[in-house]
Formats: sequence, C-alpha cells, structure tokens
Amino acid sequence: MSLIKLLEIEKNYPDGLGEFKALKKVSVSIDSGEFIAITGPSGSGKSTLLTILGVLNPPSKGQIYIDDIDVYSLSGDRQADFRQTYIGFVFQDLHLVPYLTALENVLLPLAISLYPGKEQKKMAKEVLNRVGLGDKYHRLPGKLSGGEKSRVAIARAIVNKPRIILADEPTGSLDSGTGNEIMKLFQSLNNEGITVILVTHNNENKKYVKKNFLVRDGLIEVNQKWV
Amino acid sequence: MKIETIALKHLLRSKKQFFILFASIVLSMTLAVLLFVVVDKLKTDAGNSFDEIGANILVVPETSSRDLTYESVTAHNSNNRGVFSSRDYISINTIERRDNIATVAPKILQPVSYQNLDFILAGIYFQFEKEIKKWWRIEGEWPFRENEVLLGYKIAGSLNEKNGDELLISGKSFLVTGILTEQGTEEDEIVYANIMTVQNLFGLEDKISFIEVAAYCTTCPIEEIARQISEKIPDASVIIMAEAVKTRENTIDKFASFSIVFSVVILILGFAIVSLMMITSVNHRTKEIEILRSIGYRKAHIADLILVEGAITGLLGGIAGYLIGMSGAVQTIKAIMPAASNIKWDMIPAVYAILISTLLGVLSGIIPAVKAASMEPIESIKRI
Repeated sequence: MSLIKLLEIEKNYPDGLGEFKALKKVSVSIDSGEFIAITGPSGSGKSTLLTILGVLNPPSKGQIYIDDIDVYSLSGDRQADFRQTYIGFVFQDLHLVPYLTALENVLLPLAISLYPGKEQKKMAKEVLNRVGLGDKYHRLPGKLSGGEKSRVAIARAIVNKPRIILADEPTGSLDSGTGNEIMKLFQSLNNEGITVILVTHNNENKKYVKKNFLVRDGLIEVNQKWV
Repeated sequence: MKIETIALKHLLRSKKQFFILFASIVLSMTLAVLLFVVVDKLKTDAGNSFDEIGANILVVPETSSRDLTYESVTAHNSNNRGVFSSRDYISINTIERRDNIATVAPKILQPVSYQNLDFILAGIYFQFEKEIKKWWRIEGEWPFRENEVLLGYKIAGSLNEKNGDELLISGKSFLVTGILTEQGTEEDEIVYANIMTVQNLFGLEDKISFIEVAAYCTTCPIEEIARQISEKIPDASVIIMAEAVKTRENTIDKFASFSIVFSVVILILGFAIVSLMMITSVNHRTKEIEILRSIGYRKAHIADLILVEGAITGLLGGIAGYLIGMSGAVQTIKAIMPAASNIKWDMIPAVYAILISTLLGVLSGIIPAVKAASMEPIESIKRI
C-alpha cells in the first residue's frame, strides 16, 4: 500500500532571467516499510526530492500525498505538526544543538508534544539505549565522537516514533565501520516497519537498501535493485 | 522537557552571551532604580522642606467684619468674639494625622494706636514664626524678652522707629530689637510682640485670633489634614492655602516628572540594546532555529523560545538590578543627604521593578522572536 505518492511533481528555481528545472513532472509511489536510497550525481535534484518528501519545500507544480493527506495543502502550522508526527530527519551535518546534552537533544521533538516530562525522559532514554548511548546521556555534542553524534541524531529522529525517516548522507562523514553500524541501525528500524529514505553516494550502503531512486537531470529512474 | 527548559539551558550554557544580556539589563535597571529612588527621596525631602517653610493651612474664626486684617484675618477689639482658646490650638496636635503636622503657629491680633497711627499688634511665638517663615530676614535681632518687638518694614518707617528705640503701646514700653525686611505684604504693617505679653496687656489671656499650620503633605492629602482639624475645632474655618499647595505640587511634580522621564529613557535605551543583542543572537542561531522548525516546531514555538529567554533574562536582571540600584541609592542618599531618614526596602516597589524588568525583557524579545519565527526550515536543508 502506498504511503507516499508524488503526482507530476515539478520544482523550478529562478536561474538568472529564466528557471532551472530541478524536478520535471516526477511521479512515484513509495510503499510503507520500504528502504530507499536516492542516488545520482551532484546537482541532479536529490536534495530537492528529499526536502519535498520532508514537507519542507513545496513543489512548483504537482501534488504529494502522504498517508492520503495532501501535505502541501495544509497550513504552515499543520505542516509543522505533520513533520513532528510523521517524519524523522537525520541531517548530513547532524545539526545537534550544541548547548544541549545528548539526552536533551533527543528530547527536543518531545518538548512540543503532549507527553508528560517523565514519559518524555523515559522515551528519550529508551532510544538512546537502543542506539548504544545508554552511558552518554549527559554528554554535550562537543564531547561525542562522529559516530556517537550520528547515533544521537538518529535517536532524535526516531524518538517520536515517526512512520518515515529521511536521512541525507548519514554515513558521509563516518569511517567504514561506523558507517556500517549506522546503516544496520536504519535496517533494524526498517525491519520494524518504518519507511527509510536516504540520500547517499556510498556504494557500501547497497546491501542495506531495498530500492534505488536514481535522480538524473530532474527525472527519477526507479530501480528495484541498486546496481 | 519544555520550551522554557530549552531557553534556560541556552542561557546557562551560552554563558558569554547570557552575561552580556544580563549585564545590560542589570545596568539599566540599576541606573533606573537608583535614579528613581534618589530623586523620589529628594522629592519627599523637598516636599517636607516646602511644607516646613510656609503655612499651607489657615485656621480662622468664622467672622466676617472687615477692619485691620492680617493674613485675611480681621483684628477686632479686645472684647471681640470668634477667637480660639489655647485648648483649640493644642488640639491640632492631637489629630490622627499629627505626624504630618510640622509647625503650629498661633497668633493674637490686637488693633492699637501709637503716634496717631492705627496698626495691628500681633502676638506670636517667635520660635514658631522662625520655623514657619524661614524666608523672613531681620535687620537686627529676633525679639527674645517679653518687652521686645519686631517691626514690619512699613510701620517702622511710618513710626520712624529704629532698632534700640522704644515704643509705648497701651502704657507698656517695648524695645525694638529687629525690623523685618520688606515683604510686600500686610506683614510690612504689623508690629510683632510675644504672644503672652499681648494677651496679658489686653486681658486676652488664653485667647488666640487665628492659627497658621504647616503640614507635610507628601504622604497625606492636605484635605484630609484640614478635615481632621475641622473635627477638632468645629467653630473654625479651616482654609487650605491653595496657592501654597499649588506651588508645592508644581515643584514636586517637576521632581516626579524628571525621575520618571529619565528612568524610562534609561530603561528604553537599555532594553533597545538588549533587543539588538538578541537579534544578533538569533542571527547566530539560524541553523538551530531552522532545525527546530524542520522537526516540527511551529513559528509560535520558536517565538516562545526567544520570548522566554527575554523574560528569564529580564527577571534575573530585574532582581539583580533592583538590589544593586537600591544599595546604590542608599549609599548615594547617605552621601548627599546625611540627615535624611533611611530608605525603606519595601516589597511592593521591588515586585513592580522586577515585573517591569521582566515585561521589558519580553518586549525586547519581540522583534528577535518575530525574526526567528519567520525563518523557514528549508534554509537549513539548502545548506546541506
């Protein structure tokens, strides 16, 4: 069953006197529980696609339905609520808040939820334990290694129990061993039914993903296998 | 965790930035509190001084005939009616608001003739007149003995009397010890003697023609003091000297306006600086704010975050600024007004000061909050 439907999505950016077409009438469906890698050369429209999927960047034309909701027809506040409920982001630079500890960074999405304080802490500790940082709740990001920061970012992305995880080059700055550990973490989340979509250049990640969207010149080529 | 917790953590862990914001608020609150308290004390002191140097209440009998007058009070013959007794005069010092009474100056007026001139002989307590008429300047000495008199400027000229001359009034010889400098009022035409001498000379023992009262009106409306005097002396007309009260109010109002205007200017400047620093802070936190927007924070959540930071800084800065400002005011007043009473550390002004500071902290955060809330989450992703 389709969780995400993109219908004739176009995205144009102003380019001098004309327009640059980042995405050209793209239509794809993503089922619930898929594990997709978005690949393609630089400037091909990968990040644009990811931001559109993340309800962060409205398309110039076309519609996107997530769970049958026309997400870009929602008001700004409702879009924010939608992101909080449905989507977990893992940014390339992780973007942990430097003055908050690992635990507090994970608590960030919960701070605007209705969960009581105790429940919030319990949930945050559970996900930190799950990503292997049970002993580093109170470390500031500056005192964590690259791999540990990635784990905190993943913990922050999943603490709200989202249905979709969007990750941009999650292993880009990690060594091979740590990168594999992070990918295994995504795999285990996917095995629980979470739809995982990540932008990556790393061929080592092939073995984890189930489907590949190759973005080239604003068009998407859907491959059942990343080859 | 709540948004308030995030705001607090940011302030506590971004020590340098917090210190600059906090110091700015403390400085402006300190200056505002110090200025306000010192000027308020000066205002009270000036008001009290003003009250002491002139009567602002006149207690007169309810009579209407016009003869020789002094302070609009008619001087009658010895057997006149409408005079007070010493008991009435003393009763003024028993009103509920007696602490507001600075000086009570009773007088007996007696029309007399000397060298074919009719004039008023006023019996007064010279020590009280000195208190109530501090602007009086005397050529010579204030009378001290029971047979010594002070002459008004014009009557001295009319009688051609000088200091050291003698004056025979109703068979009693008086020595002129002083002549009042020209006042331009009825006082220039009066001869002043000891009140008891005049009472005894004319058989008016225990009689008083009218009473001048100088009352402190900083902490009590003068109307209330006049009402209480009326209750004590029912047959009297208690007149508020509107001109004196108006002049006092004008003078005191200038002090009040000065302190309020300058305190407000200092606070506005201080908090404008805080607002600018918060805008700079928001600019440095663009990435963080956009990430929060990406993970589901509404614009209102982001605005709350910035406003709460402003409120916390304003609250803490207000507490510190009040304490430092009050301490500074106490020391300043000790230095410039050694005789002044101590300043009271009341809770209510403290609460007001802290509330104002907190409110201004929030107001300072409005522009930065609007700026922060207007950031779109996509910006952070574009930079990835």
